[in-house]
Amino acid sequence: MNRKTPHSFFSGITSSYLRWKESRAKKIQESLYYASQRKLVWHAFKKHKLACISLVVLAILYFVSIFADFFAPFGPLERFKDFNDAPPTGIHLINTDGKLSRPCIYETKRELNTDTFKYEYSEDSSKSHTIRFFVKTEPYKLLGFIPMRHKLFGLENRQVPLLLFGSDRLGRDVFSRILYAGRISLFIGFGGVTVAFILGSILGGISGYYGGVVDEAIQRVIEVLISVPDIPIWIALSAALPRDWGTINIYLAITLILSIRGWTGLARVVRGRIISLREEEFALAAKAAGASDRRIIFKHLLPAFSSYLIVHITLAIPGIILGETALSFLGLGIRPPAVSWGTLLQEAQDVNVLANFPWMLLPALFVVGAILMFNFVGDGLRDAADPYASSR
Amino acid sequence: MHEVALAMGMTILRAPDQSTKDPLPAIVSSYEISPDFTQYTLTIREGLKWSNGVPVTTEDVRMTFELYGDERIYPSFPIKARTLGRADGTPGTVTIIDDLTFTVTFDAPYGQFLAELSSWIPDYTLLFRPAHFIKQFHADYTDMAKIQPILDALEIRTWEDLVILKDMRHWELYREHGVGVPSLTPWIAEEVTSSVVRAVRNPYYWKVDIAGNQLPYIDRVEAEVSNQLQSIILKTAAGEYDVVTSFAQIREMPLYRENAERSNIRTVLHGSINNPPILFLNHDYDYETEGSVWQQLVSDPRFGSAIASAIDKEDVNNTLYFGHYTLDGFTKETFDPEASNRLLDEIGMTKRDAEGFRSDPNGGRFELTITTAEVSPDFLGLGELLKSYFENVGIRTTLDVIGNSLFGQRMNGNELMATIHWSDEPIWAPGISEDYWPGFKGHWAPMSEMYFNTNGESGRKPPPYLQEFFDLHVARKVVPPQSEAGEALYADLVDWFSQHYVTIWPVGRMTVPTVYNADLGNVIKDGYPFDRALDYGMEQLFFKTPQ
Repeated sequence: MNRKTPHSFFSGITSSYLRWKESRAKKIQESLYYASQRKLVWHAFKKHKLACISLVVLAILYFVSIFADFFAPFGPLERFKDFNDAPPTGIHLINTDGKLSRPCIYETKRELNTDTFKYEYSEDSSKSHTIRFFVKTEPYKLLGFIPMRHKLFGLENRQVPLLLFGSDRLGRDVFSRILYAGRISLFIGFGGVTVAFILGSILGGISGYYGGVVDEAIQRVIEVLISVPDIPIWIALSAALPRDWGTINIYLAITLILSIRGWTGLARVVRGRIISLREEEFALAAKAAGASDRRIIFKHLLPAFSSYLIVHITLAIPGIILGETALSFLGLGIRPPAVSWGTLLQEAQDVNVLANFPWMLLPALFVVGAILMFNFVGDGLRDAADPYASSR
Repeated sequence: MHEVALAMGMTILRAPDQSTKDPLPAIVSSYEISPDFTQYTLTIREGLKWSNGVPVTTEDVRMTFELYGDERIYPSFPIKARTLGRADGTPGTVTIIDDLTFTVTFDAPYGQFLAELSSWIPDYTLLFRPAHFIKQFHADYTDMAKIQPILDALEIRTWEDLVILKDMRHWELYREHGVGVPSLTPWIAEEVTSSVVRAVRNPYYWKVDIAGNQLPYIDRVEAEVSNQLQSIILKTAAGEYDVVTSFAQIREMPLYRENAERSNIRTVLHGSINNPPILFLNHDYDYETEGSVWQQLVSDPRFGSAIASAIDKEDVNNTLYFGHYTLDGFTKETFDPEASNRLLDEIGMTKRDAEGFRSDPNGGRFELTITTAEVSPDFLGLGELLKSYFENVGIRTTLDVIGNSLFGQRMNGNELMATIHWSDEPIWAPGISEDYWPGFKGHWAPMSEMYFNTNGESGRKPPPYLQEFFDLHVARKVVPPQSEAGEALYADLVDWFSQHYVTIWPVGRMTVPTVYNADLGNVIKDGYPFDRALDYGMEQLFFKTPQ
C-alpha cells in the first residue's frame, strides 16, 4: 500500500496536468474560432519546430550583423601584421595548473620554417590573456551614431590577436570579417526582395486585373526576362556597372540587378490569383459599391492571398543572397575592400587556402546556414499559411 | 594564358644569362661592329642548318630584309631594325658579302642594336627567316599556279596573306600554323592543339656538349596550354609536369615543399626577370584640365616622396612574399609615416575632413584611385595594403579592380590615375626590356609617349621634367646598353626615376620557385639571378634515369 501512495500521488498530478492541458487546448481552439488570419498562421507556424529554431537563428544572425561593431572583436580591415594566414587562436579553459579557469589564450610566437615555408606557432603559456566580456576598447560609434567604448568580448590588450576563425592573407580576423560581411550579404536579400515584391505585385496586379493589351505586354516582358538564365544576365549587367561607383552605389545597383528577374515569378502568380479572384462575389461587390480599381486590387484582392506572398518572399531571399555571393565570388559584385560573404569566399578561391588555410572557407558555412534557415522558415510558413494543411 | 616558351633564346649573339655585355657569337661565328655603331658585320656559323636540313645562308638574311621592306606584306619596317629603334628611324640596310657574311648598316649610331642581337625578345628571327621555305608561297618566286592550290586548301584569299601566315617570329613557332616551319630551335613543333603543344628534337640542332654530344638531350617535349591557374598549381604539386618555371609563385611554396616526396618534385628559389608589382602614378592624367590638382600634385616630387614614405615595405614583403623579396627599388624612401605627413602638410594638403582625410592643396576633396587588373593574386593584396598605408597618412584611396581588357582600354584612354602592374626591371639595364616606357604595362605618361612616338602630331607635349626622360631614353639607344657610356646613361635614368616618382616601389626584386622533376639534371640552382635561363635554355636538361 505504501508503495502505491506515491504512485497515486503522481497519477493525480499527471491527470490534473492532462486536464489542464486539455482545457488549455480547448481554450486555444476556441480562441482560434474568432482569431485573425495572422494569428492562425502564427499558431500553426509555432508547431513547426525546425522553422521556429531557424527563425531564431536568423534573427540572431541579423542582429549580430547589424551590431557587428559591438559583436566583432575587430574591425573588418584591422590587421595583425605578423599574423597573416594564421590559424584560429586556441582558447584554453584549463590553466597550466590543470584547474578550470576563465577562457584565456596564450601569447603566440611564430617563425617561418624556411624549409617547409610554413609558419610554426609556439604558445607561451606564461603569458596568458583572459577573454573578457564587455571589454573596453577605443571609442567607436555603433551604427555610426551611438558612441560606445565596449565590445562584447575581447582581450584587454588589443595588440594580442584573438582570432576565433583565424586570419586571412593580410592578417585580418576572419570572424570579425564574417560578421561585417553579413551586413551586405543578409540585407541584400531584403533589399532585392522588396524591389521584387513591389514590382511583382504591382505589375502582376495590373496584368491580371485589366487583362488585354496590358496583360499581353507585361507577360511578354516576363517571358523575355525568364528566357535568359540567371547568372549570365547578372554577370552582363554587373559588368556594365561603372567602376568608379562607390561601395554604396554598387551595393544598390547589385540589389536591383538581382531583383530584375525576381519579380517575374511573383508577378505571374499574382496575375493568376487576381484573374480568379476578380470574379468572386466580394470583388464584384466592391466594384458595385463604386470602389476604384486601385482600391479593389490592393485592399480586396491582394490581401486575399497575402499569406502566399509572404511565403514567396521568404523563399526568394535565399536566392538573392546566393546571387550576391555568386557575383562577388566571380569578382563582379561587391568589391574588396568592402566585405560580403561572396568577397570573402573569393579570397579563399585558391589552392593554397584549401591546402593550408582552410579556415578561410568558413564564410561558406554562414552562407549555407543562412540559406537553409530561410528555406526552413519558408517551409514552415508555407505549411502554416495553407488552410487545407492536415497538420492544423 | 602563358606563351609556350620552350625554345626561345636562340639569340644571334650571346652574353651570359640576361646580360648583353660583350656578347660572344652564337648562331654566327664572328661579328664586328664599327666604332660608331653604324655597321654590324656578322658571319654565319659554318654548317648551320635549318631544322629541315637546308643550310642557313645570307640569302635568308637578304630575304628577311626584303620582306621587311615589302609593303604588300608588312605595313611598316620593324622598329628594332630601324636606326635608334624608333618608328621614324631610317630602316637598316643589309649588304651581302658572301654566302655567310653580311653587314647591317644604319644611317646613324645605333648601339642598342647590339643588345637586340643578344636578346631573346627579338631572337634570331630578327635577321634570319628561312628564305627557301617562304619563297614557295611568294608570287615573286613561285608560279601562282603552284601557290593557288595551297591558298584553296587553307582558304586564304591572297598569296600575301599566305606569306604573312608562314613567315613567323619565333614566338609563333609553337602555335598551330608553326608546325612544319623550319627553325633553329632545339625542338620543333609536331602537333599543336588548343590544349597541348607536342614538339620533337630538331635533328639539325647545332649545339653540342663538351663531350661532343648533340643537344638537346631530351627527344620529346610536351607543353600544356592552360589558363586555369589553380589547376596548374594543383598539377604542379602533384608532379604532373617535369618543369614549371617563370610561372610558379612563392606563395605556393608550402604546397610544393609539402608534396616534394610524394610527387617526386624539387623546388629551387631564384631571381626573376620580372619585378613584383609596382605602383605607377600617371603624370599625364587630367593634364587637359586647367589648373588640375592632380597635375599640380604629381609634378611636385614631394608628393611622390610622401606616397613612397607611407609604404611599409617590410610589411608588404612579410605579408605577401614570406620576407623573401628585396627592399630596394627605384624609390629609396623607407617607411616613415611622419615624414610622409610632413611632406603632405608642406604641399598644402593640410585641411582634413570629418573622416580625417586630407583635402587637396586648394581645399577640395582629394581621392587617389588605384586601378589594377588581377593579373596575379598578389596584385589585389598589394592594392589593399597600399590603400591602408595611404589612408594612414590621410590620403583617401580607392582601389578599383577591373578586368584585363577594360584595364587596357582605360589605360589607352588615359583614364587611370594610378595603376599596379609588373615590370621587367631586372632586364632594363642590359636593354632587353624597355617596359619602363611610359605607356607600357602600368603607365605613367601615355600621352607624352604618344607625342614622342608621333613626333608631336598628337598627345601631350611633355613638360620639361618628362622631356628629360625622353632625352635620356634616346641617348641610351646610341651606345650599347652595357658599354661604359651605356651604363652611365642607365644610372642617370634610374636617378631620373627616383627623383620624379613616376613609379613607386613597394618592394624590390622578387624570388620565385622553379618546380622540377627530381629526376632532372642540369637545373638552375638556388639563388640563381634569373628564371629565364631555364625555360629559354632547356636543351641542357636531361633525365638521370632513362625514361
